[in-house]
Amino acid sequence: METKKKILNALKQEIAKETGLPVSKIDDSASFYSLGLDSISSVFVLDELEKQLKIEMNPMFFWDYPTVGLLAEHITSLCKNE
Amino acid sequence: MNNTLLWRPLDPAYIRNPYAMYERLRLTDPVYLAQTKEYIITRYDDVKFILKSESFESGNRLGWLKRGVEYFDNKDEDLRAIYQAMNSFILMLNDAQHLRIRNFVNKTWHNREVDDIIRANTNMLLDQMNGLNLDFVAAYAQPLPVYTISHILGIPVTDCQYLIQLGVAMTKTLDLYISLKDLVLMNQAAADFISFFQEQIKLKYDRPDEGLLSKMIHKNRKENLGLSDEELVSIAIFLFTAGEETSASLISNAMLNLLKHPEQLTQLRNEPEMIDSAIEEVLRYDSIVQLLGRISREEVTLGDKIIPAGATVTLVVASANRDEKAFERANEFIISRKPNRHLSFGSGVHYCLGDWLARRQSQLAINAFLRQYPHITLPDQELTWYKNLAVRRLNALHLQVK
Repeated sequence: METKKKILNALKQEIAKETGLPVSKIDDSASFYSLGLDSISSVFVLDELEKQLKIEMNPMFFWDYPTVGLLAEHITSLCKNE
Repeated sequence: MNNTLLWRPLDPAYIRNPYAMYERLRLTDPVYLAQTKEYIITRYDDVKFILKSESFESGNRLGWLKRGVEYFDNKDEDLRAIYQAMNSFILMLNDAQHLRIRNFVNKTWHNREVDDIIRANTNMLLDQMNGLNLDFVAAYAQPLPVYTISHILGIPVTDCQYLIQLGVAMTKTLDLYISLKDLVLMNQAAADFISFFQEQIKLKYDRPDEGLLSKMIHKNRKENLGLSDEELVSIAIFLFTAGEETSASLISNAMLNLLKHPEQLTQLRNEPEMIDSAIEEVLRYDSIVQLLGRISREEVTLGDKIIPAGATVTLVVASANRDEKAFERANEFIISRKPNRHLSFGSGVHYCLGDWLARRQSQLAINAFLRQYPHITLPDQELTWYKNLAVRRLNALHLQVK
């Protein structure tokens, strides 16, 4: 649980930095698209997360797990497998 | 990976064998709106229709990269060399701009007598081989096209490995889904390619020769065609990478598929003149360029789906080539197959400029290798492929030969 919270928080921080939205306005169920991210800015956000969390991000993550909550959950499962 | 999705282009299992995924798409949803917001087209008739249709244009990657370069410029990540290097990639241009560059290359590239060049290169590489074990990719399939295209362009091969590395990195321009790390690698390769060809062009201005690069420069100057040095550099990078990476993959895939189908290999050994149709079958059965991209210029109805204007469309050429409605026994590798109207070189205005060179080079390369080694076996190994579905490229192919 602890890890997921940490990852969710990191993800929201990055999205907030990129979009200018306050973290409090970023809902777990919000899609990246609706938050204003696209196929280019996602490349940047995934790279920032990769550096921060030290886990390899795959460019398809943005599409395969298209909401904040789904991606956080997936990254958490990757951390557990490590 | 999310298992419910039909489109899983970076899944290692599907990169090893993408054909099951293609078949499922073809049978269940041949115009599939993927999670990536693009339409995945997998049937032969649809792929061919779009390739020939004026309602679709090229250049989705170039547009994306241009926007990407601008975006990262604001993040202090300079990727401008990528766009500069690709600016005149014929594959990605449209209409007047496309015709201008394509006709220029076509009109300059007269000399299509390449057999002697290729034979000299295969002989040289075969002479260098020794021992009973070799990596077919590194020892043969990969260096051969570098020597050939360099000879055609008239550039020196002082460092074959260096040029191969740059070529591999530039191939990422065809990848659909990339990371920032990929972009940074591409940018470095693009910058190195640019300086390499700038240097070569400078030399050719003073000392014209019979190579294609020199001919292009002097034709442009003499006839006042107005191409900038930047455009000439981009054209040279395009010709080099297009001629090199894809041919290397075609030769490797040809050898792999022949070894996996020993009865076909025996047939080819007995009748070497079958090499022409054998290479066509490799192109069909295991297409090198698996995916091509287009953008819709207007709304188009395809079957029961409506593709809106401005949509990204991914044409799965390698799936079209396995469509049972277009080919009998589509999943079988049959080197005598005729006719064989595969779409591996595209179709329509963007039809591959170098198809004749790719064909000739792989025909001569395979037959020369088979003549040199009467016994070739495929030892147990885990085959690894380039990590992106767009290009079907073997990293290595270990063989035992005698």
